[in-house]
Amino acid sequence: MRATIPQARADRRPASAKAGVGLRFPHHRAFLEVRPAAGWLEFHSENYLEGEALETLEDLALDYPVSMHGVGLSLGRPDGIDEAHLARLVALERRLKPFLCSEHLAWGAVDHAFLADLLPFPLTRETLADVARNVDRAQQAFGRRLLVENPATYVQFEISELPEADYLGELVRRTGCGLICDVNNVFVSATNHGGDAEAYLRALPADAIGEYHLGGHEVADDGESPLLVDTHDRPVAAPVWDLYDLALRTVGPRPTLVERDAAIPPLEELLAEAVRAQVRLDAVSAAGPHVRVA
Amino acid sequence: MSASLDHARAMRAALLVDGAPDLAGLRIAGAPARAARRFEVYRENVRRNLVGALALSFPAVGRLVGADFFDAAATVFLRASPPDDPDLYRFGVGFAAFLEGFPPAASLPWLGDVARVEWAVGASLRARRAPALTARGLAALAAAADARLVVHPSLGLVRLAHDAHRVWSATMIVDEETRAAALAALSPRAGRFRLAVARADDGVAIIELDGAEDAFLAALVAGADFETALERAPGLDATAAIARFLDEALFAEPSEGNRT
Repeated sequence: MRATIPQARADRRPASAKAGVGLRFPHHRAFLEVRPAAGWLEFHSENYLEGEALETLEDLALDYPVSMHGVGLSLGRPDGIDEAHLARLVALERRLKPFLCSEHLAWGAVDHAFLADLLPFPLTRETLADVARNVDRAQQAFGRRLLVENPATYVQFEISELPEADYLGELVRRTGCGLICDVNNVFVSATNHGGDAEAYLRALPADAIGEYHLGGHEVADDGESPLLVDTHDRPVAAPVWDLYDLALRTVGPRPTLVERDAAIPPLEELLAEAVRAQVRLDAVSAAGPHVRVA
Repeated sequence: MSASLDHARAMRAALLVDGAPDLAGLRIAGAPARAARRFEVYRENVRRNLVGALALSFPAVGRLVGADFFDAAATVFLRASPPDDPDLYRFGVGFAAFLEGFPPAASLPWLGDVARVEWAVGASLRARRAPALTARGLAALAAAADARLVVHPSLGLVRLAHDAHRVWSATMIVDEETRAAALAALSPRAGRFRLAVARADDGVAIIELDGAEDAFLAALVAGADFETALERAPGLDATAAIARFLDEALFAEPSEGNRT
């Protein structure tokens, strides 16, 4: 199966790699009234499908580049994409004209049940065909390239046939999609499964990475060893900043998101964390062309 | 059937089952006890995310029964009838009926109706903003040949078997002491109550309707024209009703966006 790569419309990419923040409801008022400096805003598509939330977002999109990040398309579902939901997302994309459009390597819906989480699935050749078919369909409907985010996972499956980084690389090769490298997810999954975060980072196809995500995680345990949980309820952890620095050196600067989904702090605190990312981005951008490590 | 579909279905069942899930078919790597503890992170995420979605849609029910009761009731509901739509604002349309049949809530026979009011309030708050029809707009409408009287996008109609809208209003009082006093002064009663819910300047207005007013608005909501809506509402004092509905902003200015 060889997909056609939709190139119909260019991304409205910010001129240089900027740090942005995830737009959350508790910050709507502050954004509307103060319009503080932020490189760009990422919104979760499913929270802005209609009504006042969408109107707020349309207003903010006049002043900020926006990135559309889906959490409900369920690219990993084996029973085919939800066409009705895809049509709503396409309509949203047309209205907001986001500079990036992304989803996850995960599933959350099968048959007629939506489970409201980013769930893992076995990384087999069969599921790769399912995911590639779904990504092809979504890219065809959007008429543009989709970025697919690497997941934070807590379990692995005995029946998996491919390492995750190779699986993503193969998905890129088959569909022409891009990737979000969620640096926190790389760290969380590597810790949970005894993997090597740096090796994972180097194994991803660097040219396909169009964005970084940064978020905080909780350190829990599974009874035997630490289990990191991707909670987005606290600042980015120190080792994740280190891994981000490595990504900036090896992959290069890319638009970078800082996000919280729980224990959402005052906006100033979130923006200050984005500034930390921006300082790192600027340092790398000023250093000229990055060195790619094979 | 594909192995990947079998796997997803087995995982869905394990995530939604009440009690210890059967993980044998999922082939999770590692020792069973450890795999089970790790799988529990997903199970709890699914449960908590969906309980959270219901809690956002039904804050008054949550306050009335308390967080623990709400969590338990919502968990039973979501496991029996998970959402079918990734738009979680649409999750919970059946929650009112569920509460009416939920034995632990039997002592609050009006609780389901409180949920019905909340569902309509939530829909109203999320509705598209649109200018309300003014008296001048109405006059222009009456003079135009092809114009249509359209309801405001935020209008919802609710029919209740108890006066649960009074419970809802009292429950939403922010100050705890005032709220407790207002709730203590209420004794919800059974009866037929018909409500219009629509966005107002400071939130949402809840307007009690008589049978004819309800029939008239229901016909307009269903897409009927003015004449047909009047025919469906025998006994309606049209002049008084329309003046009242204008005042409560239940109609929208006719524009391209409002015609659908």
